[in-house]
Amino acid sequence: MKNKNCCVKEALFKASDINYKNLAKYLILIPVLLIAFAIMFTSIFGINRQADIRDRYEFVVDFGTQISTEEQGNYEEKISEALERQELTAVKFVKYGQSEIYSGLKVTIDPSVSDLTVEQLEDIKNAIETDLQASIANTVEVSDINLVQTDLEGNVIYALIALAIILVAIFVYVWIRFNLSFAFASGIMGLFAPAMTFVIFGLFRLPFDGVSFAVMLIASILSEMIFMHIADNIRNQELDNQSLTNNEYIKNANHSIINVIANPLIGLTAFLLLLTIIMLFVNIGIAFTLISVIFMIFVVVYSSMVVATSFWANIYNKDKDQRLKSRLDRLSKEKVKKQKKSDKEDQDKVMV
Amino acid sequence: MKKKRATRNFIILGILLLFCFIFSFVSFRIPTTVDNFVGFYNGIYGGIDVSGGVTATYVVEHYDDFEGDTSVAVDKAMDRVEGMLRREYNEYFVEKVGEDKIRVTIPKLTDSTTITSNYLVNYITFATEEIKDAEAYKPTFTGANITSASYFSANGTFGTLIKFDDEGKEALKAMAEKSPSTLYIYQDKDYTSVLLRISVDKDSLTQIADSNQLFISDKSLFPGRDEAEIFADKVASGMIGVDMELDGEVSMIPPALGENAGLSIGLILLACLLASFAFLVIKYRELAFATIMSLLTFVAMSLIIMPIFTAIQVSLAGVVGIIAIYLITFIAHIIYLEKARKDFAKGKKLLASFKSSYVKSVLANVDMYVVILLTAIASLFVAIGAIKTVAIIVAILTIPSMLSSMLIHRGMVKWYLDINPTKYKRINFEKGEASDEE
Repeated sequence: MKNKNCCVKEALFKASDINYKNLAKYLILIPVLLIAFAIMFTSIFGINRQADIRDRYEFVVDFGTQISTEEQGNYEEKISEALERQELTAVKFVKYGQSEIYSGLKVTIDPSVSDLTVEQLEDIKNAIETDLQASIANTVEVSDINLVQTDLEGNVIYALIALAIILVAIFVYVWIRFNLSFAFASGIMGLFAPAMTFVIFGLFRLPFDGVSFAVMLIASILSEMIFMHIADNIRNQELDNQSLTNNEYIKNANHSIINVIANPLIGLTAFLLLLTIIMLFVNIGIAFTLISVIFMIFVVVYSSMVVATSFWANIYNKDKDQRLKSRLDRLSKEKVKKQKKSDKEDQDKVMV
Repeated sequence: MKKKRATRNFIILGILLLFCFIFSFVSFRIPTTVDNFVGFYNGIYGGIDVSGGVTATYVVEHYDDFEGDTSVAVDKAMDRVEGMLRREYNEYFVEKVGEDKIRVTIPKLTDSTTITSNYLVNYITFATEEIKDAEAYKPTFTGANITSASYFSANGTFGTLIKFDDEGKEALKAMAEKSPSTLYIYQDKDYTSVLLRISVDKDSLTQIADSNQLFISDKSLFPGRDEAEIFADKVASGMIGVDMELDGEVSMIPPALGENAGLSIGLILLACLLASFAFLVIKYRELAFATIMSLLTFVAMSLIIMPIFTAIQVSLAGVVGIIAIYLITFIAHIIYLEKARKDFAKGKKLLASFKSSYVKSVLANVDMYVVILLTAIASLFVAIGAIKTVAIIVAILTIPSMLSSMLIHRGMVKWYLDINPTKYKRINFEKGEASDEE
């Protein structure tokens, strides 16, 4: 067979030729330490939560008439200047109005600002209103500046409960389908993938919002998907050849998976990278989402092909696998039956 | 003969897919009706990111005998509102504004520019008269007397069962003494909005009072389960002792991803699709045609299915979910082809390779889809927000994904092999030793 693998694919093949069992403590421990570090880092510096999921001050500026896109840019500038004079920064502007006649802008103030008193808010509001009426029009009205509080804890709690149920359901399925060691490996990976994705958000200060939870869920799904294929491949190898070590089973399985998914994943990553560069100039929100998806792909590959497999290599003992033994017994009995049938048919032919 | 039939099949499928994609994007008035067909793509419901939202702020007040301060009242009202919104929306925002207000933002799923009051928390008052002077009226039966309100179904009839305490029982008995003709259930503190009117008389109201429960069941009131549940929720909300009143006007907010969010997302998804097709053509040459037809069938089925479910509300998270399920479908297709390539390289004949690899790939894909469905279904019932959006999309689109990867793809490949049963170089396969094809 001609070897037409690209350099990235070759690198993946080489990278998968490691001793999973011996290196398990490094392959798993280092990411766990990274996760611990990320938790400490984010507890000190916080994650880069988007304004929508943070407590923040907001107000509405009503211009009295529908605003065009060109006017919107100009008004945003004037509002930002007015806020700067009050030593505040606007982080988000959203059109606002009734029945899609957007005659106002909802302004979100930098969420780092907190603990303003009612009097201070009133003063700021009056100052901004005076400023804008002078620079734009007399008809401009500024609403009260209110503290808007979100319930992020609720979202996180529901997400954690969902994750726990998912892990239990998959654990049970993998246990029934394969055996307990595969089930434990998939459980560890199911925890690792979303945790590692969270690390990426924390350490690289990627904007963290509702979509980030979705990316973490998809990391879990895709990791489990790839690991199921690895597990299936290892199982088939065990049925064909019982003399290989755990490490060799994993290497063969990973090579097989790389052969299938490497090219599509490399292509997808390259494509997403290109799209990200384009989106940086078109829509920065989508660009950051694509960046998180690119990182997620790396996390998925690492968790399924390295973390889960290393863990499995250390805990699986072929000699104690009763299910494998009974399956091998069944297969050998079927083989003997087939052989006998074939011999009988040959005998019958000879007699004829 | 087989070759002709296969070619004909591809042409027919191609025409059907073309029609499907045309109907995904054109819109027209349906003849003899006043309804418009907007196209499958435009019929997909969008979340706040994609279609914009409707937002309203409500002032929260509480009963005099409410236990706790305004902050507690607002928190209870927020929990209640979130619980009711979760029934209908995947993504929504319920935020505390200032000390005593709640802001609700929901996706703009229809052309409506209002927010239904179904999920609002209001005062509930039972009375047997039309109250003209709200300030003078002293309610005797309020939401504080209600112990539970739940949806009920019996013999195909839907209803609501409201249970109340002994204080409420005495209040109703006192009302019954005045020989009323109607029981009014008010849903606001000013007694301007009547939730329900029930025809009663002295005996029936006394009977209701003695049983400590009121069962409301009327096909005209509750034609379906949803109506009964919404009514039960409204009455149950009255138990909290909190009232929400609209502050200002209901407002609109445009799509967070920009005015042309739908178009941008469509173009991104199209670019992903075309990139995957380019990969297939490079990797599998002529055979790519069969795989592309199968993937297009998946896309077509998804476009037809998605607008049917209001539960699918596509936001940025939803787009990530759509890309994920497409990637899963794509990988499932590739697995079949790669297993066939491997078998062919081992020396099997071309047709035999595809036959043997099909069984292996189906078993592998079943595992994959079971895991995906377990994850999606578990998330569906527990998660909220973006996770729920992804879970719904993945759960629903797993069906066309499975159909296309495990059945349709096999059919497409079979048709292709009827046209080209031996020429392996045209599909970029490498010959194994035992094979004697060209």
